[in-house]
Amino acid sequence: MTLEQFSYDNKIVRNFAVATMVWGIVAMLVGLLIALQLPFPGLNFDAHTTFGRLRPLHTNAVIFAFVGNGMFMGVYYSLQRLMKARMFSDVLSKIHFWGWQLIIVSAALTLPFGITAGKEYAELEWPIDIAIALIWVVFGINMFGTIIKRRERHLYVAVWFYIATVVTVAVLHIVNSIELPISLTKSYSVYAGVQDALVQWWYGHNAVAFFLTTPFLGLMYYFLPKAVNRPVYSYRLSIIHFWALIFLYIWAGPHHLLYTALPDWAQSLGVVFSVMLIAPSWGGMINGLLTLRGAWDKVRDNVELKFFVVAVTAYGMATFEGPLLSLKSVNAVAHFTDWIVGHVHIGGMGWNGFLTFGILYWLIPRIYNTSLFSKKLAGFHFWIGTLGIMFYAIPMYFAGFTQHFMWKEFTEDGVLRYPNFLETVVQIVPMYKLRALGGFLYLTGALVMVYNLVKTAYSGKLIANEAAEAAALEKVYVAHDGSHWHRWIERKPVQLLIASLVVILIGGMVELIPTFMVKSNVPTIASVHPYTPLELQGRDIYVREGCYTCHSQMIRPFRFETERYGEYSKPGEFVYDHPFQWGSKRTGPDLHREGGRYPNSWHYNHMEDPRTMSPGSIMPPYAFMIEDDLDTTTTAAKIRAMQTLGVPYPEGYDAKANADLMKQADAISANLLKDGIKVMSNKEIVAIIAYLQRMGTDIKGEKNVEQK
Amino acid sequence: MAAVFFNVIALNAQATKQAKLELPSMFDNGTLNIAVLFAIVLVLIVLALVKSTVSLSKVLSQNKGKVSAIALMLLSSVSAFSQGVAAATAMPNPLPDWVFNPAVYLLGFLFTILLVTVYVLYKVNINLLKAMNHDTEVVAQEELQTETEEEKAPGFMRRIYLRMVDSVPVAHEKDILLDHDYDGIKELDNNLPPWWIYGFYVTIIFGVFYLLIYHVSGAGKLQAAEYQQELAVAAQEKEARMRASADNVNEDNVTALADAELVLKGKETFERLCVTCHLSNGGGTVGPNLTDDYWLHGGGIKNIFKTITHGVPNKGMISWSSQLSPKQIQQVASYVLTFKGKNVAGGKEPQGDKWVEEVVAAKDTTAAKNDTTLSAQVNAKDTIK
Repeated sequence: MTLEQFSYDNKIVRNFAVATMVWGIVAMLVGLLIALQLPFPGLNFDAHTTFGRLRPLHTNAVIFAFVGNGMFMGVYYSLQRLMKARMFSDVLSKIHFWGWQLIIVSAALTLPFGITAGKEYAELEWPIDIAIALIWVVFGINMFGTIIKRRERHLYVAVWFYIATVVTVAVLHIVNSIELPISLTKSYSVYAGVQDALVQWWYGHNAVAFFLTTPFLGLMYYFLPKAVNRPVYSYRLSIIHFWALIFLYIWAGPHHLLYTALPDWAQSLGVVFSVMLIAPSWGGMINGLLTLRGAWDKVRDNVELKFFVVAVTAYGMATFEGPLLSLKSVNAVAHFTDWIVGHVHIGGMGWNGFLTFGILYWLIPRIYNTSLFSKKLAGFHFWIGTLGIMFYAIPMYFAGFTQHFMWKEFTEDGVLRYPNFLETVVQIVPMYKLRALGGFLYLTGALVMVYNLVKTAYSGKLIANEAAEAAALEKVYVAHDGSHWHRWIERKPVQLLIASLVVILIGGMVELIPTFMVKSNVPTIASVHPYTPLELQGRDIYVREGCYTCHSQMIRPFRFETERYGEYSKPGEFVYDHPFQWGSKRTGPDLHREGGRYPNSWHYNHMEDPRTMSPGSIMPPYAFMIEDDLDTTTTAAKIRAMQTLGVPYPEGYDAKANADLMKQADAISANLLKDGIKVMSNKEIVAIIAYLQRMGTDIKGEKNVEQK
Repeated sequence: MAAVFFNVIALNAQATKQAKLELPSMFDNGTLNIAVLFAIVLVLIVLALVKSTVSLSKVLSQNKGKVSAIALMLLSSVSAFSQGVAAATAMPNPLPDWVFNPAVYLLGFLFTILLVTVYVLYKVNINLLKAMNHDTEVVAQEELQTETEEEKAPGFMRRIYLRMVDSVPVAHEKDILLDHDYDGIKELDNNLPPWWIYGFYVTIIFGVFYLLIYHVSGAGKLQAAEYQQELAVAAQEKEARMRASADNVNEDNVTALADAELVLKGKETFERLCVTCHLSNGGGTVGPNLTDDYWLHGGGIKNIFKTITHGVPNKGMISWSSQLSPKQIQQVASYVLTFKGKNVAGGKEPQGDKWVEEVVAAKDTTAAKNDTTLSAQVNAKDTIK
């Protein structure tokens, strides 16, 4: 058996590390800005920097730019060493790296301009979606190529997680992003209403599972034992928790839609599978923390281990809290409030952020063949980061509870104690300030890290190609030798890939297919009609501005909601909504029954400057809609696209649509004039008013909504 | 974790309560509600314990109805919280008053939690510090030592602990070290932690029962049924309230209030909800001018009461009946009447028809006069506040 000489590609790892740091800072800066916009609405400078447009930028930058690059950095480093092979192709590595950065740049250049698909964490428009799919395939090929030419017979648990990640993210991304384009910058989700919601949250939830969790569990399985130099606690635990995790996770998406118009059976599946997820999730935490058994002394002086320990603990907390939040009674409290925001930031800042920081501290000195510039600064980063998380999360929990209980409180006379939604917002504004402080502390820590690591890099020299040697795998058939049965599949990457694909498809198919095929899941309501052309244009403005980041369109069947907003939302009301806009957070009130609640003039004044109509409001001003002309050249294409998607506009309506549009716009303009407001009927404001006045009115006044 | 958090919030709430008589609204509702919920659990536990002692069981069984009624009231809201106390103290009973004061249990409970938390944190920290100062070799040796000691006499709790953890000590881990080696990473072959696997089974059983209860047996109420029940309870409560209050107001019997105190309440509601469309001085922007003699839907207390109650949805005036009680609407309507004849500068142009009160002229002047004095009184009271 001869040893083969080869080298590991450290340059690609370094590149991803730099990208992680750069995008991490950018993502956190945007996060800090939008956190400050809530208590200080004056920070919504212009149309491009409103909360509604920047919030998707923050989430996308954190998930895909910061965590994504961090994941690739860790995978490229560990995969080569676990496979005892250089990456399959340096060219593919480069395409992957630059392609991904290009996607991020195009996201940053489109989202502030309101180019969005309007679905959370999947806002990027269709050309970028295609680019993501292609680059992801490049990553997959590069990974599998490396696995195929490996010099290690068995695949380590980290690699199982990487494989599951690659397969599942591809499935999720493609299914959720099927859109019908009407131009280069605008498309409609092919799914509508309830179905769109289910697909979106099947995707959204599993983006958390397979983009933020499984790859990072893989990274933990490599970097934690490496850093502490101890054997992994239990091989059998890793087998059970891996398969259980990927099988169960995929079912849990509907827990984002509890007490909504989603069919009850799907909600219940979401509940029970989320609860069953506790143990598999904790399996990872246990295996990580118990690996430290007997070596806790190293945590004392080893900064990356400190980060790892907090990351794994945060993971354990978030994955325990998640199932609790999936219990309907708890969800009734938490949904639409800041509790959820706090929850995801424990995961994002604690688990993903700290694990990434730990890996950076471990890996940069190694690939630069030097030691860390300053342990003291790293220690400072650890403590200020931890403090930042606390300052972030605790006010959010507090704000969540407070607001929920204010929403639902009735007086002795049986009426809402805080009928004005704004009162419940004003109450928690101090919490928003504290949260921004938490974010600021966390960002400060990250900046200190960047300085520390740049200094470290300059003190050493990058080993672009790290020499290594290993014996080649003999191309002989190896019969299973009676050791643990799982050893078999660990030798078979393709079978492992297929097995994980099958396992993750089951849950998705069981939930998605009946929701699409069985008619009783979305009973038809006769009085629900398609949007008029003007309303449709207005709705697209609503999507463009990211109104769904603060306003829900989903009244839950609770007395405290129906008293406040009106009849609870029915599945049949959303059949023409491409994409659905139910939202997941109420920084402002629900808008599903907004139609007819206020006069047009109220909306006009409120959009121009929310604080004239609602003193103390924290909504951004939308005065630019009064200036900007509505683009009616797209109307025909939009109507045709809707027809393709099954919206019953009459044949040939696309040609007449603009005439109807102008008629309705003129009527609104005339109505505004009665209240002394002079506005041309071709302005965007007229369209958004038309949409707002239509919302939820289809079943208004109908005593018994007939659902067939 | 969550418990600690509640603890802190509720202690804050408690502190604020003592510091100021008037509670800030943040503590007025939610957070305290949760703390009260926890407290009730404790109360029930305490009651269960007390009940088991023979001497007190008779007393309690006589009071059983009352006790559970108090518990229910506590659950419903914080305002009921104080009522609960009042009701309890008003009842003649052989137990001292503090037994029925939920605040005692609340504080007792929070204090217990605090103690437990401090103890747990202390233990964890000590263990962690110990671990942090010992390297692997020392840990292994210590384990060996305790092992030999335990062979003699492992305590009951210790035996349960060991069985639930089922892990091979660091000192013996060479026996279960697998021949796996991935870039230097080795793996141990520890058993699945029994507490973990049993927990997993419990969640699976939970899942099966959950689906059976909600989707097979039909015993569990799904959201639509749950909502209907909530509405039914609210309707019952409303009926009870209507029966209880002799002076309930409706659009047929409503009269303009003359009590400045009550009209001031109406003013507060007006300032909170109505000013966005009608302006603070009643001059109107989106909504019509309330200070002139012209009314779109009729002037006078009855019409104004009706308009506020039902709204005029197609003109943008919403129905306030779900947000305001009839009494509150009466107060607001009475306050609106105080605008009469002010014809504020910059007000909206008159809309609708001129309204003439259907009363004899003489009375009308006194009424108008009264309105003016009432308006002055209300404003005076407002300034004092």
